[in-house]
Amino acid sequence: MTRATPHLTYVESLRRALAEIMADDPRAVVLGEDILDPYGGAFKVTQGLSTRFPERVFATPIAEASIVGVSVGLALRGFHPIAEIMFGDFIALGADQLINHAAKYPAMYNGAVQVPLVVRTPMGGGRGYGPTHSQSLERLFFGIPHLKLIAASHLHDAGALLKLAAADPEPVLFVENKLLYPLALHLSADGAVRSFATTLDRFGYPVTTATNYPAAQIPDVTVIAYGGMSRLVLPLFDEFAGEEIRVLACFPSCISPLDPAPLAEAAAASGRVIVVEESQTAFGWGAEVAAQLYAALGAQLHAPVQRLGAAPTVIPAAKSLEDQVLVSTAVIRDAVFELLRST
Amino acid sequence: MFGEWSKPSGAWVTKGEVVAVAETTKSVFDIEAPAAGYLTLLAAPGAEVAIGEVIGVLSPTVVSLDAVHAWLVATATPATETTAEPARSWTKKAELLAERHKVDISQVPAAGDRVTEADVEAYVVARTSSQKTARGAIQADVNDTVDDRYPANRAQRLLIIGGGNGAIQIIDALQGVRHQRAVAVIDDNRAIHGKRIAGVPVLGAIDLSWAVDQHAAGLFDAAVISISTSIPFRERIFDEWKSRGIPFANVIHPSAVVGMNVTWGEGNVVMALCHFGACATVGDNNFLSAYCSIEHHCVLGNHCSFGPSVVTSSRVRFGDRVRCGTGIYIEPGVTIGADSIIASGLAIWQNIPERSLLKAHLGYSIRGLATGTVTVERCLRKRRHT
Amino acid sequence: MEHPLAELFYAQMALIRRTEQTFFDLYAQGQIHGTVHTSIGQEATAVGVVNALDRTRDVIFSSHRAHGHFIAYCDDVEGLVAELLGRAGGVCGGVGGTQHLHTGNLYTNGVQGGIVPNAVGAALAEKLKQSGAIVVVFLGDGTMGQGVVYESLNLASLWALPLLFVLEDNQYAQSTHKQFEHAGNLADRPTPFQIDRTELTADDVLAVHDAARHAVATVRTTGRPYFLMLNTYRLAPHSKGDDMRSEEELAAYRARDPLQRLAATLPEAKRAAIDAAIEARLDAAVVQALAMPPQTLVSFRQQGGGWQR
Ligand SMILES: Cc1ncc(C[n+]2csc(CCOP(=O)(O)OP(=O)(O)O)c2C)c(N)n1
Ligand SMILES: [Mg+2]
Repeated sequence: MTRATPHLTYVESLRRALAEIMADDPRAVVLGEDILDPYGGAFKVTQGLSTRFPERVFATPIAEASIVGVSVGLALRGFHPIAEIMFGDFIALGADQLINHAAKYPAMYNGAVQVPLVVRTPMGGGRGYGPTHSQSLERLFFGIPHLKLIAASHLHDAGALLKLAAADPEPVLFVENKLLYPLALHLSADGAVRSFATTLDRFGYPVTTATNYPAAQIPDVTVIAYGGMSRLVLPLFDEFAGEEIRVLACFPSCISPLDPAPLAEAAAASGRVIVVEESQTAFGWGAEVAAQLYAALGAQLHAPVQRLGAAPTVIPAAKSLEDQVLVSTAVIRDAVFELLRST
Repeated sequence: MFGEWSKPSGAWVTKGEVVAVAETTKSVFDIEAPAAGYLTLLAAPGAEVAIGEVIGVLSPTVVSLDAVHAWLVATATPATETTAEPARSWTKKAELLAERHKVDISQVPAAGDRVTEADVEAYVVARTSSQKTARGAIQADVNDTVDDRYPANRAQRLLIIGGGNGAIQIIDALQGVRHQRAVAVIDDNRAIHGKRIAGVPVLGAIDLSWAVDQHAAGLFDAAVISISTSIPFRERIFDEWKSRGIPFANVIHPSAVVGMNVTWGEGNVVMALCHFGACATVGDNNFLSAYCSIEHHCVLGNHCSFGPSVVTSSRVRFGDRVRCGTGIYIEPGVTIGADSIIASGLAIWQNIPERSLLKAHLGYSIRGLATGTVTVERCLRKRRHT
Repeated sequence: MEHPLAELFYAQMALIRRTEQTFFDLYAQGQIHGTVHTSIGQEATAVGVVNALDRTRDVIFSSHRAHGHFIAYCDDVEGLVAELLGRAGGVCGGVGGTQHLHTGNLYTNGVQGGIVPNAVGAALAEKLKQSGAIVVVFLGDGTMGQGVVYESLNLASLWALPLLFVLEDNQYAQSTHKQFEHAGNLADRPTPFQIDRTELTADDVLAVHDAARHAVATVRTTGRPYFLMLNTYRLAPHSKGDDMRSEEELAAYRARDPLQRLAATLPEAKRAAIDAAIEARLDAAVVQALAMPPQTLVSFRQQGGGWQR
């Protein structure tokens, strides 16, 4: 994967990648609500696109089922649609199209068709948008056969990841994160990040591992997370270095299906694992990761895998509440201390 | 010094508008409204004000002066009281390590500006050796590149009790084991104190209170008893040490074959080429010499000691403290009562009551062979002569 | 006097009828695993519309009741029989079964309404490719209750897409008459979206075909959507043995069976020859399919259903 120019922001990286995909692939089309210039999309990821490629960028009505459904038809008929769902919460309206159409056609027609479709959408809270504009509803799609969930953290080259997703013959739900958009990508060992490595999982998607200690040492704790959680984990690197706590952060990008091997390797390094997800933990991604790690590592784990996530309720609008309902850097810090105290 | 207001109290001002002038000892400058709102004046013209002091308030509606003061009180940040942790002069890692060793971290001297985990380690080692100056301490691997504070990151460190042939056998077995290593031997024989057995130092006599300290200091993880000849000794040491919280390790030669669902107690020593069939149960503190085969679903009690080649068929049960010689075959389902002793070379087909002594009546005679045949003795003798 | 297309259309309609009756037989014998939805009595809609298309490029979307559309489109009765019998040689390797068929440019899916936005996407694709192809989507009266259908009417008109909506109104959704599902008149649905429409009773396949040719030509020349509403009737149960309709009602519609109506226009000998050929062909198709091995997990995984674990 090419290294992004330092200081490129997450949104800029995605925006450039979209333009490059459109320029390189005449079969790429983009559709979504309010994506035309000068507005350029609610989060500006598509800004400039309709000016450069007016004939392949389509503003749609407010009709999420059809945004996905039309994209499926386009993909069946030879195009490479990249659809935007304005807020991840609304993917619920497109769920039938993702689950019963996009993900089913290739297998149920016995491999005779492909649905090379990307549905991009920003998930996550922290902006006070309240219960219907703050969720991380990728959780609804974990484990759906033949549907890939790709989540970009700011430890990934978000744009390069989008290109991989666009080149994937299977349908992809591409999970972006609202609070990551303005952040500069962090793609190398600098600052508090002392070692930085990217490997590919067996699906060909990058898994980033970053540490706050030099490569030769052994971590005290492994934090496994995806997407927007990089915003919470990275600030702990410096602080933990000052406390002599060595943390290894592992961010897969293909979060479903899940290749457990790179996660197991990261987990085995310390034997103490905390999984962080922005959504509620019950029946969530962390549960799957924990199950996979137990199967792979068994007694090599020194402590039960800890899962952190949102409280099991709606995500409130009021800042004072939202801050506490969602997982935070402070919650992760305390969980690390507790884990090290008990084992 | 605060100069003068350029807007009256109650006026609507827009963001960036100049609302006042102020002067410092060096200059006179304009004060711009940081936001839009209705202005309430607090500072009197010409008054001395400190940097950071509130001189006026902008509000979304026109408000009374009382309301402004109430708001100021409510939002003032208390001078010192915060929820932040009190300042620490040690790292969190040092704190956690001190907790683990039950050390008061405020007593630990710092080499640098804060107490680090290395400081705590050094303190723990020093404390242990000063408590027992008369004898050596187990060497802590402070410079080990492998993280030594957390057991699973490195091999389990074993203290071997007894420095005779059993100790050598255990150290030999550990050569092929990656998850355990011997760090020290103790033995009551003063002659070997200060020496090494296959590289492992013999630190002194068998002393439980010393061992308890060494263990608390994290210098070994578990003990194992190498003496196979005295069952009462094995049992006494095992029970006393266990009662003081010392864990015992199973040492199993890597060539041993262990079937599925074998249940292990602790403190067992298993020598080369032993076999444990599926679902066998092994109690605590047994010593099995080479080539023993404990077949599937057998149950072994505690503190037993077997010579080489004790071979059982399935479902055999041994009570505690059974001693077996060499080359014993036991038929399926037989129960051997506790405290029994079975001589070498027997085949057992019936249940044996507790405290039985089984002697062998099988005899053999040795006689020299007729002339013309080369005897073994002669052969040997010949070789020595040539 | 015999219409030049009558023989061809009779052969297709009779083939559809006998194939679906054969499915009922195979189901009764326990050979078909699952369910079947037949279009017995509705053959005129499939044959009338599909024959108006350009099979080399036009695209068809349909749903659970699609055997007729499939046979009229590609004639692959052998592949269809093998598919319903779960054989590797089935048109979708036995994975899709009756409701999930694909061949050439025909796609069916069993979620009511879900295919309609897919058809919009396909129409957008053909428009962008400037292929000159049009897309047809078949939907039932019951499916007109789905929200995505209206999203799709809106988009097809808004974006001026070459999409022909064919509403096969057989009055029932499973067991429920349309009067209990829909307010207003289904034929009026396209009007507010400024989509033109034709409505006719689909008893006469030749009339259906004329209307369909007109509709297809309109879509192809204007590049805009069109709505063809065909009033038809299903003479067999919704799927298998779940019929709640009265015997009098069924008898009245049996008397207007479009297949018999067309048969009456053909000389007896010609009809008998066609019927005999169909029987022979179906016998052979069933024998051939039953002789094929059932689909295996290994080849399923090698083809569409592959997964890594
Ligand atoms: C989304 C969805 N809901 C319910 C069903 C179950 N179902 C299958 S066919 C059917 C009736 C469809 O009626 P209509 O659209 O009139 O088509 P017809 O069966 O009459 O051809 C129903 C309810 C389904 N397949 N999909
Ligand atoms: Mg109907």
